[in-house]
Amino acid sequence: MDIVHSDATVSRLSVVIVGCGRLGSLAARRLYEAGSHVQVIDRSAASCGVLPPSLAAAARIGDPLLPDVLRAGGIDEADCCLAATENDTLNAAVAMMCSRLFCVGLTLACIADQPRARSYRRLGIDVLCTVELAAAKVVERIRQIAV
Amino acid sequence: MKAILVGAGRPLYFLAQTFRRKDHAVTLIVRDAAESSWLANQSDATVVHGDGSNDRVLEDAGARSADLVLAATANDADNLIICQQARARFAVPRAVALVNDPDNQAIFAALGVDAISPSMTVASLVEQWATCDRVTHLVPAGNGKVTISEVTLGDSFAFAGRPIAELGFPRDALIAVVMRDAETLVPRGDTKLQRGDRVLLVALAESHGLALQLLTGGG
Amino acid sequence: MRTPYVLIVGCGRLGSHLANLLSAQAHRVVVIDRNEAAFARLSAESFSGFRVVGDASEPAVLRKAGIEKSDLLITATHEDNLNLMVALVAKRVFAVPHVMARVYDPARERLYHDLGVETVCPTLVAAEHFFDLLSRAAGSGGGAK
Repeated sequence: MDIVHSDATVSRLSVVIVGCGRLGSLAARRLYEAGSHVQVIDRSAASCGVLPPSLAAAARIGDPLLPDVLRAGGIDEADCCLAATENDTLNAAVAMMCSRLFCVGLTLACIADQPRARSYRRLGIDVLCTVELAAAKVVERIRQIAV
Repeated sequence: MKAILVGAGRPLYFLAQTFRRKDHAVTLIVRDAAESSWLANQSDATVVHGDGSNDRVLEDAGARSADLVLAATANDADNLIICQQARARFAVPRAVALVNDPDNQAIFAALGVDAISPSMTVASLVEQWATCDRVTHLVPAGNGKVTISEVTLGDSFAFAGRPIAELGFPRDALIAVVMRDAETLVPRGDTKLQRGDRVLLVALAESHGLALQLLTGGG
Repeated sequence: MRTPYVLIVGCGRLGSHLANLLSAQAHRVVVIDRNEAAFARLSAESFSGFRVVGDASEPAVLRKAGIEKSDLLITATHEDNLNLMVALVAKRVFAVPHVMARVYDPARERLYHDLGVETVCPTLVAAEHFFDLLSRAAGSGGGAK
Protein backbone atom coordinates (compact mmCIF):
# COMPACT_ATOMS: atom_id res chain seq x y z
CA MET A 1 0.00 0.00 0.00
CA ASP A 2 1.30 3.42 -0.86
CA ILE A 3 1.49 5.91 1.89
CA VAL A 4 0.83 9.38 0.61
CA HIS A 5 3.23 12.00 1.92
CA SER A 6 1.29 13.89 4.46
CA ASP A 7 2.91 17.19 5.17
CA ALA A 8 0.46 17.74 7.99
CA THR A 9 1.81 14.80 10.00
CA VAL A 10 5.45 15.19 9.00
CA SER A 11 5.34 18.87 9.94
CA ARG A 12 4.86 17.93 13.61
CA LEU A 13 8.20 16.17 13.67
CA SER A 14 11.57 17.37 14.86
CA VAL A 15 14.33 15.87 12.73
CA VAL A 16 18.13 15.96 13.02
CA ILE A 17 20.06 15.32 9.82
CA VAL A 18 23.72 14.42 10.13
CA GLY A 19 25.74 14.99 6.97
CA CYS A 20 24.85 17.55 4.34
CA GLY A 21 25.68 15.61 1.18
CA ARG A 22 23.24 14.89 -1.64
CA LEU A 23 20.76 12.88 0.39
CA GLY A 24 21.11 14.85 3.63
CA SER A 25 20.63 18.22 1.96
CA LEU A 26 17.69 16.98 -0.15
CA ALA A 27 15.94 15.48 2.87
CA ALA A 28 16.60 18.61 4.94
CA ARG A 29 15.22 20.88 2.26
CA ARG A 30 12.07 18.80 1.79
CA LEU A 31 11.37 18.60 5.50
CA TYR A 32 11.94 22.33 5.82
CA GLU A 33 9.48 22.96 3.01
CA ALA A 34 7.00 20.59 4.67
CA GLY A 35 7.20 22.72 7.83
CA SER A 36 9.07 20.26 10.05
CA HIS A 37 11.64 21.38 12.56
CA VAL A 38 14.97 20.45 10.92
CA GLN A 39 18.48 20.74 12.25
CA VAL A 40 21.53 19.86 10.15
CA ILE A 41 24.87 18.76 11.58
CA ASP A 42 27.97 18.58 9.37
CA ARG A 43 31.73 18.59 9.86
CA SER A 44 32.16 21.37 7.33
CA ALA A 45 30.39 24.69 7.03
CA ALA A 46 31.05 24.72 3.30
CA SER A 47 28.82 21.72 2.57
CA CYS A 48 25.90 23.47 4.29
CA GLY A 49 26.02 26.21 1.64
CA VAL A 50 23.52 24.29 -0.50
CA LEU A 51 20.79 24.60 2.15
CA PRO A 52 18.10 27.28 2.32
CA PRO A 53 19.76 30.23 4.14
CA SER A 54 17.94 29.92 7.45
CA LEU A 55 18.75 26.19 7.66
CA ALA A 56 22.37 26.84 6.76
CA ALA A 57 22.62 29.54 9.42
CA ALA A 58 21.23 27.20 12.07
CA ALA A 59 23.44 24.26 11.08
CA ARG A 60 25.77 22.86 13.72
CA ILE A 61 29.34 22.45 12.57
CA GLY A 62 31.26 19.71 14.34
CA ASP A 63 32.09 16.05 14.70
CA PRO A 64 28.78 14.16 14.97
CA LEU A 65 30.36 11.45 17.08
CA LEU A 66 30.72 13.93 19.95
CA PRO A 67 27.66 13.84 22.21
CA ASP A 68 27.94 17.58 22.80
CA VAL A 69 27.68 18.30 19.11
CA LEU A 70 24.59 16.07 18.82
CA ARG A 71 23.06 17.76 21.87
CA ALA A 72 23.72 21.19 20.47
CA GLY A 73 21.99 19.97 17.32
CA GLY A 74 18.90 19.24 19.38
CA ILE A 75 19.13 15.46 19.49
CA ASP A 76 17.40 15.33 22.90
CA GLU A 77 14.20 16.74 21.43
CA ALA A 78 14.37 14.91 18.11
CA ASP A 79 11.77 12.42 16.91
CA CYS A 80 14.04 11.23 14.15
CA CYS A 81 17.70 11.24 13.20
CA LEU A 82 18.98 10.54 9.69
CA ALA A 83 22.71 9.75 9.52
CA ALA A 84 23.61 10.58 5.94
CA THR A 85 27.30 11.41 5.73
CA GLU A 86 29.41 9.98 2.89
CA ASN A 87 30.85 7.41 5.31
CA ASP A 88 28.85 4.21 5.93
CA THR A 89 30.64 3.33 9.15
CA LEU A 90 30.23 6.80 10.61
CA ASN A 91 26.51 6.69 9.78
CA ALA A 92 26.13 3.37 11.58
CA ALA A 93 27.97 4.73 14.63
CA VAL A 94 25.90 7.93 14.73
CA ALA A 95 22.68 5.95 14.38
CA MET A 96 23.67 3.66 17.25
CA MET A 97 24.49 6.61 19.49
CA CYS A 98 21.25 8.37 18.69
CA SER A 99 19.06 5.36 19.32
CA ARG A 100 20.85 3.89 22.36
CA LEU A 101 22.29 6.95 24.06
CA PHE A 102 19.69 9.56 23.20
CA CYS A 103 16.71 7.22 22.71
CA VAL A 104 15.60 8.88 19.49
CA GLY A 105 12.44 7.12 18.27
CA LEU A 106 13.44 6.67 14.66
CA THR A 107 17.10 6.60 13.70
CA LEU A 108 18.24 5.66 10.24
CA ALA A 109 21.76 5.05 8.97
CA CYS A 110 22.26 5.64 5.24
CA ILE A 111 24.45 2.84 3.92
CA ALA A 112 25.59 2.75 0.32
CA ASP A 113 27.12 -0.72 0.39
CA GLN A 114 24.54 -3.50 0.33
CA PRO A 115 26.51 -6.31 2.07
CA ARG A 116 27.40 -3.83 4.80
CA ALA A 117 23.75 -2.81 5.11
CA ARG A 118 22.87 -6.46 5.75
CA SER A 119 25.48 -6.82 8.47
CA TYR A 120 24.44 -3.57 10.21
CA ARG A 121 20.84 -4.75 10.26
CA ARG A 122 22.01 -7.80 12.15
CA LEU A 123 23.41 -5.39 14.73
CA GLY A 124 19.93 -3.96 15.16
CA ILE A 125 20.58 -0.72 13.28
CA ASP A 126 17.81 0.63 11.10
CA VAL A 127 19.35 1.06 7.67
CA LEU A 128 18.38 3.04 4.60
CA CYS A 129 20.37 1.33 1.85
CA THR A 130 20.36 3.54 -1.24
CA VAL A 131 21.59 0.72 -3.49
CA GLU A 132 18.86 -1.67 -2.33
CA LEU A 133 16.17 0.94 -2.82
CA ALA A 134 17.42 1.88 -6.27
CA ALA A 135 17.70 -1.77 -7.29
CA ALA A 136 14.17 -2.42 -6.05
CA LYS A 137 12.96 0.38 -8.29
CA VAL A 138 14.68 -1.16 -11.31
CA VAL A 139 13.31 -4.63 -10.51
CA GLU A 140 9.84 -3.14 -10.27
CA ARG A 141 10.29 -1.49 -13.64
CA ILE A 142 11.43 -4.77 -15.19
CA ARG A 143 8.33 -6.47 -13.77
CA GLN A 144 6.18 -3.89 -15.56
CA ILE A 145 8.06 -4.48 -18.81
CA ALA A 146 7.83 -8.25 -18.59
CA VAL A 147 4.04 -8.27 -18.11
CA MET B 1 30.71 35.32 -32.49
CA LYS B 2 30.34 34.24 -28.90
CA ALA B 3 32.06 30.95 -28.16
CA ILE B 4 32.17 28.76 -25.06
CA LEU B 5 35.15 26.42 -24.92
CA VAL B 6 35.22 23.57 -22.41
CA GLY B 7 38.49 21.82 -21.65
CA ALA B 8 41.74 21.94 -19.77
CA GLY B 9 45.39 22.87 -19.86
CA ARG B 10 47.52 24.36 -22.57
CA PRO B 11 45.43 23.01 -25.46
CA LEU B 12 42.48 25.02 -24.12
CA TYR B 13 44.68 28.07 -23.64
CA PHE B 14 45.92 27.99 -27.25
CA LEU B 15 42.42 27.34 -28.53
CA ALA B 16 41.21 30.35 -26.57
CA GLN B 17 44.00 32.55 -27.93
CA THR B 18 43.21 31.49 -31.50
CA PHE B 19 39.56 32.40 -31.07
CA ARG B 20 40.42 35.69 -29.37
CA ARG B 21 42.79 36.67 -32.19
CA LYS B 22 39.85 36.34 -34.56
CA ASP B 23 37.91 38.75 -32.32
CA HIS B 24 35.45 36.21 -31.01
CA ALA B 25 34.11 36.62 -27.49
CA VAL B 26 35.41 33.62 -25.58
CA THR B 27 34.29 32.05 -22.30
CA LEU B 28 36.19 29.08 -20.94
CA ILE B 29 34.76 26.39 -18.68
CA VAL B 30 37.42 24.62 -16.64
CA ARG B 31 36.81 21.88 -14.10
CA ASP B 32 39.95 22.21 -12.01
CA ALA B 33 40.03 25.20 -9.64
CA ALA B 34 43.80 25.83 -9.75
CA GLU B 35 43.82 25.55 -13.50
CA SER B 36 40.90 27.90 -13.95
CA SER B 37 42.71 30.65 -12.03
CA TRP B 38 45.87 29.98 -14.07
CA LEU B 39 43.87 30.38 -17.28
CA ALA B 40 42.13 33.49 -15.97
CA ASN B 41 45.58 35.05 -15.45
CA GLN B 42 47.04 33.85 -18.74
CA SER B 43 44.32 34.76 -21.17
CA ASP B 44 41.85 37.61 -21.47
CA ALA B 45 38.96 35.21 -21.88
CA THR B 46 36.27 34.94 -19.20
CA VAL B 47 36.85 31.80 -17.17
CA VAL B 48 34.09 29.86 -15.40
CA HIS B 49 35.16 27.21 -12.93
CA GLY B 50 32.94 24.11 -13.02
CA ASP B 51 31.73 20.99 -14.76
CA GLY B 52 30.74 21.92 -18.31
CA SER B 53 28.26 19.06 -18.52
CA ASN B 54 26.27 20.67 -15.71
CA ASP B 55 23.52 22.90 -17.09
CA ARG B 56 23.91 25.50 -14.34
CA VAL B 57 27.58 25.92 -15.17
CA LEU B 58 26.80 26.27 -18.87
CA GLU B 59 24.18 28.85 -18.02
CA ASP B 60 26.69 30.80 -15.91
CA ALA B 61 29.03 30.78 -18.89
CA GLY B 62 26.31 32.42 -20.98
CA ALA B 63 25.09 29.42 -22.99
CA ARG B 64 21.76 31.14 -23.66
CA SER B 65 23.39 33.67 -25.92
CA ALA B 66 26.31 31.61 -27.23
CA ASP B 67 26.78 30.89 -30.94
CA LEU B 68 29.14 27.99 -30.43
CA VAL B 69 30.03 25.47 -27.76
CA LEU B 70 33.20 23.47 -28.30
CA ALA B 71 33.63 20.52 -25.94
CA ALA B 72 37.32 19.67 -25.81
CA THR B 73 37.90 17.79 -22.57
CA ALA B 74 39.93 14.58 -22.35
CA ASN B 75 36.78 12.54 -21.69
CA ASP B 76 34.59 11.69 -24.71
CA ALA B 77 31.48 10.99 -22.65
CA ASP B 78 31.81 14.42 -21.02
CA ASN B 79 32.18 16.03 -24.45
CA LEU B 80 29.06 14.29 -25.72
CA ILE B 81 26.94 15.36 -22.76
CA ILE B 82 28.25 18.94 -22.87
CA CYS B 83 27.01 19.16 -26.47
CA GLN B 84 23.68 17.51 -25.63
CA GLN B 85 23.15 20.00 -22.78
CA ALA B 86 24.10 22.95 -24.98
CA ARG B 87 21.67 21.90 -27.70
CA ALA B 88 18.78 20.50 -25.65
CA ARG B 89 18.72 23.03 -22.83
CA PHE B 90 20.07 26.21 -24.39
CA ALA B 91 19.46 25.75 -28.11
CA VAL B 92 23.04 26.74 -28.91
CA PRO B 93 23.16 26.86 -32.74
CA ARG B 94 26.38 24.93 -33.00
CA ALA B 95 27.81 22.44 -30.52
CA VAL B 96 30.92 20.58 -31.56
CA ALA B 97 32.66 17.78 -29.67
CA LEU B 98 36.26 16.72 -29.97
CA VAL B 99 36.57 12.95 -29.81
CA ASN B 100 39.71 11.45 -28.33
CA ASP B 101 38.87 7.94 -29.56
CA PRO B 102 38.44 8.21 -33.36
CA ASP B 103 35.84 5.39 -33.31
CA ASN B 104 33.54 7.68 -31.34
CA GLN B 105 33.16 10.00 -34.31
CA ALA B 106 30.65 7.66 -35.95
CA ILE B 107 28.81 7.13 -32.66
CA PHE B 108 28.52 10.85 -32.03
CA ALA B 109 27.23 11.36 -35.56
CA ALA B 110 24.57 8.70 -34.96
CA LEU B 111 23.54 10.60 -31.83
CA GLY B 112 23.28 13.86 -33.76
CA VAL B 113 26.40 15.54 -32.39
CA ASP B 114 29.03 17.05 -34.68
CA ALA B 115 32.41 15.59 -33.83
CA ILE B 116 35.98 16.22 -34.83
CA SER B 117 38.72 13.69 -34.23
CA PRO B 118 42.01 15.59 -33.83
CA SER B 119 44.08 12.41 -34.06
CA MET B 120 42.35 11.30 -37.25
CA THR B 121 42.65 14.75 -38.83
CA VAL B 122 46.34 15.04 -37.99
CA ALA B 123 47.05 11.46 -39.09
CA SER B 124 45.41 11.90 -42.46
CA LEU B 125 47.16 15.23 -43.07
CA VAL B 126 50.55 13.81 -42.16
CA GLU B 127 49.89 10.71 -44.21
CA GLN B 128 49.09 12.77 -47.27
CA TRP B 129 52.12 15.02 -46.82
CA ALA B 130 54.39 12.04 -46.29
CA THR B 131 53.23 10.16 -49.36
CA CYS B 132 52.96 13.04 -51.74
CA ASP B 133 54.53 16.48 -51.77
CA ARG B 134 52.49 17.46 -54.83
CA VAL B 135 49.28 17.58 -52.82
CA THR B 136 48.23 20.93 -51.45
CA HIS B 137 45.13 22.51 -49.98
CA LEU B 138 43.88 19.46 -48.23
CA VAL B 139 40.48 20.35 -46.82
CA PRO B 140 38.38 17.93 -44.83
CA ALA B 141 34.64 18.46 -45.36
CA GLY B 142 31.41 16.73 -44.43
CA ASN B 143 32.53 15.87 -40.90
CA GLY B 144 35.80 14.48 -42.16
CA LYS B 145 34.11 12.05 -44.55
CA VAL B 146 35.12 13.99 -47.65
CA THR B 147 38.55 15.33 -48.58
CA ILE B 148 39.17 18.00 -51.15
CA SER B 149 42.73 18.33 -52.39
CA GLU B 150 44.69 19.94 -55.16
CA VAL B 151 47.16 17.69 -56.95
CA THR B 152 49.82 18.62 -59.48
CA LEU B 153 50.40 15.84 -62.01
CA GLY B 154 54.15 15.15 -62.15
CA ASP B 155 56.52 13.03 -64.20
CA SER B 156 55.40 9.89 -62.43
CA PHE B 157 51.80 10.32 -63.64
CA ALA B 158 51.27 7.17 -65.72
CA PHE B 159 48.13 8.12 -67.64
CA ALA B 160 49.34 11.27 -69.39
CA GLY B 161 47.52 11.82 -72.66
CA ARG B 162 44.89 9.22 -71.90
CA PRO B 163 41.20 9.91 -71.14
CA ILE B 164 40.10 10.11 -67.49
CA ALA B 165 37.74 7.18 -68.05
CA GLU B 166 40.77 4.89 -68.43
CA LEU B 167 42.26 5.79 -65.05
CA GLY B 168 40.09 3.26 -63.27
CA PHE B 169 39.16 5.88 -60.70
CA PRO B 170 37.23 4.72 -57.63
CA ARG B 171 33.49 5.39 -57.87
CA ASP B 172 33.36 7.80 -54.97
CA ALA B 173 36.26 9.95 -56.13
CA LEU B 174 35.91 12.73 -58.60
CA ILE B 175 38.16 15.11 -60.51
CA ALA B 176 36.11 18.27 -60.20
CA VAL B 177 38.29 20.78 -62.04
CA VAL B 178 41.41 20.69 -64.21
CA MET B 179 43.64 23.78 -64.25
CA ARG B 180 45.99 23.90 -67.21
CA ASP B 181 48.06 27.09 -67.75
CA ALA B 182 45.51 29.89 -67.66
CA GLU B 183 42.66 27.61 -68.55
CA THR B 184 40.21 26.03 -66.09
CA LEU B 185 37.99 23.23 -67.32
CA VAL B 186 35.42 20.88 -65.85
CA PRO B 187 36.48 17.47 -67.17
CA ARG B 188 34.38 14.67 -68.65
CA GLY B 189 35.26 11.03 -69.09
CA ASP B 190 37.00 11.72 -72.40
CA THR B 191 39.11 14.64 -71.13
CA LYS B 192 42.82 13.81 -71.47
CA LEU B 193 45.03 14.73 -68.51
CA GLN B 194 48.59 16.00 -69.03
CA ARG B 195 51.66 16.27 -66.83
CA GLY B 196 51.76 19.70 -65.22
CA ASP B 197 47.97 19.85 -64.90
CA ARG B 198 46.64 20.84 -61.50
CA VAL B 199 43.48 18.95 -60.63
CA LEU B 200 40.98 19.42 -57.85
CA LEU B 201 40.17 16.04 -56.35
CA VAL B 202 37.02 15.44 -54.30
CA ALA B 203 36.84 12.03 -52.66
CA LEU B 204 35.29 10.13 -49.80
CA ALA B 205 37.93 9.46 -47.17
CA GLU B 206 38.14 5.73 -47.90
CA SER B 207 38.82 6.26 -51.63
CA HIS B 208 41.07 9.26 -51.28
CA GLY B 209 44.28 7.23 -50.98
CA LEU B 210 43.64 5.16 -54.10
CA ALA B 211 42.66 8.21 -56.16
CA LEU B 212 45.82 10.03 -55.05
CA GLN B 213 47.92 7.03 -55.93
CA LEU B 214 46.49 6.97 -59.46
CA LEU B 215 47.17 10.69 -59.91
CA THR B 216 50.67 10.74 -58.47
CA GLY B 217 52.15 7.34 -59.26
CA GLY B 218 49.78 5.66 -61.64
CA GLY B 219 50.27 2.36 -59.81
CA MET C 1 6.55 -12.91 -22.20
CA ARG C 2 9.83 -14.80 -21.91
CA THR C 3 12.21 -13.77 -19.14
CA PRO C 4 13.80 -10.44 -20.02
CA TYR C 5 17.41 -10.27 -21.19
CA VAL C 6 19.04 -7.59 -19.08
CA LEU C 7 22.35 -5.89 -19.76
CA ILE C 8 24.00 -4.15 -16.80
CA VAL C 9 26.85 -1.72 -17.46
CA GLY C 10 29.12 -1.23 -14.46
CA CYS C 11 29.64 -3.81 -11.72
CA GLY C 12 29.88 -1.44 -8.77
CA ARG C 13 27.57 -1.49 -5.78
CA LEU C 14 24.33 -0.97 -7.67
CA GLY C 15 25.26 -2.98 -10.77
CA SER C 16 26.43 -6.01 -8.83
CA HIS C 17 23.51 -5.98 -6.40
CA LEU C 18 21.06 -5.72 -9.27
CA ALA C 19 22.85 -8.51 -11.16
CA ASN C 20 22.67 -10.82 -8.14
CA LEU C 21 19.03 -9.96 -7.54
CA LEU C 22 17.89 -10.44 -11.13
CA SER C 23 19.95 -13.54 -11.72
CA ALA C 24 18.45 -15.11 -8.59
CA GLN C 25 15.02 -14.39 -10.12
CA ALA C 26 16.00 -16.39 -13.21
CA HIS C 27 16.49 -13.40 -15.50
CA ARG C 28 19.12 -13.66 -18.20
CA VAL C 29 21.77 -11.17 -17.08
CA VAL C 30 25.00 -9.93 -18.62
CA VAL C 31 27.29 -7.54 -16.72
CA ILE C 32 29.92 -5.38 -18.39
CA ASP C 33 32.78 -3.75 -16.53
CA ARG C 34 36.12 -2.31 -17.58
CA ASN C 35 37.82 -3.87 -14.62
CA GLU C 36 37.70 -7.63 -14.17
CA ALA C 37 38.26 -7.30 -10.42
CA ALA C 38 34.85 -5.61 -10.14
CA PHE C 39 33.17 -8.97 -10.83
CA ALA C 40 34.29 -10.11 -7.37
CA ARG C 41 31.15 -8.36 -6.12
CA LEU C 42 28.96 -10.88 -7.92
CA SER C 43 27.64 -13.55 -5.62
CA ALA C 44 28.84 -17.10 -6.22
CA GLU C 45 25.47 -18.53 -5.14
CA SER C 46 22.98 -16.24 -6.83
CA PHE C 47 24.70 -14.98 -9.98
CA SER C 48 24.61 -17.33 -12.95
CA GLY C 49 24.79 -14.77 -15.76
CA PHE C 50 27.67 -13.70 -18.00
CA ARG C 51 30.53 -11.29 -17.41
CA VAL C 52 32.09 -9.20 -20.16
CA VAL C 53 35.30 -7.25 -19.55
CA GLY C 54 35.45 -4.11 -21.66
CA ASP C 55 34.62 -0.47 -22.17
CA ALA C 56 30.89 -0.18 -22.76
CA SER C 57 31.35 3.01 -24.76
CA GLU C 58 32.69 0.77 -27.54
CA PRO C 59 29.89 -0.71 -29.67
CA ALA C 60 31.91 -3.91 -30.19
CA VAL C 61 31.83 -4.56 -26.44
CA LEU C 62 28.08 -3.96 -26.32
CA ARG C 63 27.59 -6.36 -29.24
CA LYS C 64 29.68 -9.01 -27.54
CA ALA C 65 27.43 -8.66 -24.50
CA GLY C 66 24.40 -9.32 -26.68
CA ILE C 67 22.91 -5.84 -26.83
CA GLU C 68 21.05 -6.71 -30.01
CA LYS C 69 18.82 -9.19 -28.18
CA SER C 70 18.56 -7.38 -24.86
CA ASP C 71 15.19 -6.16 -23.58
CA LEU C 72 16.58 -3.73 -21.05
CA LEU C 73 19.90 -2.03 -20.50
CA ILE C 74 20.82 -0.19 -17.34
CA THR C 75 23.96 1.88 -16.96
CA ALA C 76 25.38 2.07 -13.45
CA THR C 77 29.00 3.14 -13.74
CA HIS C 78 30.43 5.80 -11.46
CA GLU C 79 30.31 8.49 -14.14
CA ASP C 80 27.01 10.19 -14.90
CA ASN C 81 28.13 11.26 -18.36
CA LEU C 82 29.37 7.82 -19.33
CA ASN C 83 26.07 6.36 -18.13
CA LEU C 84 24.13 8.76 -20.30
CA MET C 85 26.38 8.23 -23.33
CA VAL C 86 26.04 4.44 -23.20
CA ALA C 87 22.29 4.76 -22.61
CA LEU C 88 21.96 7.00 -25.68
CA VAL C 89 23.97 4.60 -27.83
CA ALA C 90 21.81 1.69 -26.62
CA LYS C 91 18.63 3.58 -27.39
CA ARG C 92 19.46 5.32 -30.65
CA VAL C 93 22.06 3.06 -32.27
CA PHE C 94 20.91 -0.37 -31.07
CA ALA C 95 17.22 0.43 -30.47
CA VAL C 96 17.14 -1.39 -27.13
CA PRO C 97 13.45 -1.30 -26.06
CA HIS C 98 14.05 -0.13 -22.49
CA VAL C 99 17.00 1.90 -21.34
CA MET C 100 17.64 3.18 -17.84
CA ALA C 101 20.55 5.15 -16.44
CA ARG C 102 21.59 5.58 -12.84
CA VAL C 103 22.09 9.26 -12.12
CA TYR C 104 23.91 10.61 -9.08
CA ASP C 105 22.93 14.24 -9.36
CA PRO C 106 19.13 14.68 -9.02
CA ALA C 107 19.36 18.00 -10.89
CA ARG C 108 20.42 16.09 -14.00
CA GLU C 109 17.26 14.03 -14.37
CA ARG C 110 15.62 16.58 -16.59
CA LEU C 111 18.26 16.27 -19.29
CA TYR C 112 17.89 12.49 -19.30
CA HIS C 113 14.14 12.77 -19.66
CA ASP C 114 14.54 15.32 -22.46
CA LEU C 115 16.70 12.77 -24.26
CA GLY C 116 14.22 9.96 -23.62
CA VAL C 117 16.26 7.99 -21.10
CA GLU C 118 14.58 6.62 -17.97
CA THR C 119 16.48 7.29 -14.78
CA VAL C 120 16.97 5.85 -11.36
CA CYS C 121 18.47 8.27 -8.86
CA PRO C 122 19.36 6.50 -5.61
CA THR C 123 19.34 9.81 -3.72
CA LEU C 124 15.76 10.60 -4.78
CA VAL C 125 14.53 7.06 -4.18
CA ALA C 126 16.11 7.08 -0.72
CA ALA C 127 14.65 10.50 0.11
CA GLU C 128 11.18 9.29 -0.89
CA HIS C 129 11.55 6.17 1.21
CA PHE C 130 12.71 8.27 4.15
CA PHE C 131 9.61 10.41 3.83
CA ASP C 132 7.40 7.34 3.76
CA LEU C 133 9.00 6.06 6.95
CA LEU C 134 8.63 9.48 8.60
CA SER C 135 4.96 9.75 7.62
CA ARG C 136 4.34 6.31 9.07
CA ALA C 137 6.14 7.21 12.29
CA ALA C 138 4.25 10.48 12.59
CA GLY C 139 0.95 8.80 11.72
CA SER C 140 1.39 6.13 14.40
CA GLY C 141 1.69 8.76 17.08
CA GLY C 142 5.46 8.91 17.25
CA GLY C 143 5.57 12.60 16.52
CA ALA C 144 5.72 15.74 18.63
CA LYS C 145 7.76 14.79 21.63
